[in-house]
Amino acid sequence: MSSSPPPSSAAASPSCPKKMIALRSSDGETFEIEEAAALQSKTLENMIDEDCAGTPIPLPNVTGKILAKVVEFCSKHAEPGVDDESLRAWDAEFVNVEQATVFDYILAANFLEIPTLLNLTCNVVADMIRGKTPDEIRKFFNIKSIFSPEEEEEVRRENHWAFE
Amino acid sequence: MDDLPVEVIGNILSQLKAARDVVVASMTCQKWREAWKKHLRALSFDSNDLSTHHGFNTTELEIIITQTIFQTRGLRCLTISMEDADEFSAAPVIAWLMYTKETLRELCYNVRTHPNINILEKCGRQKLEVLKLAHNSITGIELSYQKFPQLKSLSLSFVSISAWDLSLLLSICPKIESLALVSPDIAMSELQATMELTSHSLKEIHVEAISLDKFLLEADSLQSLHLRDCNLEVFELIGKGALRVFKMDDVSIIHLDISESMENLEVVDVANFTVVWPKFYQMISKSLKLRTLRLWGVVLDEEVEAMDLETISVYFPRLSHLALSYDLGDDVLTHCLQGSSNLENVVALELGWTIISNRFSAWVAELLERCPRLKKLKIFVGVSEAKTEKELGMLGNFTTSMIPLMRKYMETILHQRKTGETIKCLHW
Repeated sequence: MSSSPPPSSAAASPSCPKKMIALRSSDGETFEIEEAAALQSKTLENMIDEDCAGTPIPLPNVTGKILAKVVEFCSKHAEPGVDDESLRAWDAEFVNVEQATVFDYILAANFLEIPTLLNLTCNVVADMIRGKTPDEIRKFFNIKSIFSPEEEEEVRRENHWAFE
Repeated sequence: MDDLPVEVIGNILSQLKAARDVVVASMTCQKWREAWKKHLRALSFDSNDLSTHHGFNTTELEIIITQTIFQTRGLRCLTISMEDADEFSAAPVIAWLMYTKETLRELCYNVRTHPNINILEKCGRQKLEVLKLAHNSITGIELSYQKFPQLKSLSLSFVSISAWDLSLLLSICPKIESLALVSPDIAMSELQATMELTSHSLKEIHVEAISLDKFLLEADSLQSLHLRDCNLEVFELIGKGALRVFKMDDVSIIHLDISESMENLEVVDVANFTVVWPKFYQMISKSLKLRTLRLWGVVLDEEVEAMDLETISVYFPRLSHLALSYDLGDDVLTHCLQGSSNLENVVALELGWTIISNRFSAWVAELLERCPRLKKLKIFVGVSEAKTEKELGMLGNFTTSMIPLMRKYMETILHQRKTGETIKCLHW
């Protein structure tokens, strides 16, 4: 029995019959991803449209460790027939990682333009921020503040209601 | 964190939504302030978040909202939700809507304005995808220049609108997929209270607290229909076989006319539904794909028969969730249990009654026998306030008779509901 076409390849152009896309991470690892899953990334979607030669697409901004997880995420979200509740639970598990890894996911999702992953990970960071004072936020994320005291005072005055 | 580009910080701040949280976070550093000013996409002013140890009066709120919105640029989602708020004056509201007109994609607004303004006219129309309005009135829909080309989801709660304007409104939303109408104040022009809605793109509709002589819904792509607390003399649904979910809660329909094949129906969930039952049974008899069937609070009499298990197993071979609540007379029990076919695929069962009777445990036991792959069982028991000795005795008998059955099954939850009191749960 011949292999069946990928689940949702309505966007695939007739001149690119292959269904697996090869990606190369910054540290030289190669990963394969189904076209349907790859289309979740706007960056990859553009690259696929332009080039059908079959060489692995280089992604200099993403390490192998992170790229592996991104491929996993996109593949899961391209799977047909998964109900909303179980997908949400899977997503929650996916981002149940250390702070540094969440930021790596964010950078990768931003570079690859994967809106679902980007929103998911930004939401995780938002949850970390909610309820903290600016000082606490700076400490938590190790941010070097560059407000001068006068600037800070002026800014605080503009929205004093939020600090009462 | 320092590596993140400012647009991404904007995304993070947008996920915070509540205005107070966003403003506080924006104070973290220069980059976050820039994200707040130029890359914030969503903002929410919700009375639940805003009121702290001292509440804000209406004027203060108007000032806070105006000052905050005007610090941002490119806002896409705006929520203004005030519980028990007085009216906002029209000028600031118009200012908020005009300021965000070019970029707004989602608007949730539930405060009356004085004088009344036509929100639909003032808000951005080109990009709007989600609109939730409450406690406002909509008048004078103009076909010629008003269109909501991207609107997918519309929710109107406690909104005054004429039946005519409502149907016009749907026609100017060519991509609308979801409509929710809750307790609308519908002005009728004729003697007969009629509502006619037509949409080729509508996929789900939820109508609550409405009383009409006639409701005609023509929706080729309709997948989900949910009516709650409605009194309809005539309800006509014209579809093209896409309907998957049919839900009725406290609904009374005297003449139900569905020109819809019902072949793709997967969920039938009706509770306290007054309808011509034989006709209804006939309607759903072709729904071979039915997975969930809930017939709750069905009042049986000489003309209304309960659906017997044999019929259920034949009509709905793929049924996995079954919920039944009838008043069980002896003849009802015999009628229901006739035949011997099993419900092969049922994994979840919910059974209830409103009047205690000794027959209930027999009913439960028999049903358990007929569902060989059952994994989950829920029993809802109604007990009247004035519990007579007899009732208490029967309840005791019921509980005792349930114990050996319970031991057989992994997960069983018994809900004991006293009218007017909170539900208590007994877990085995």
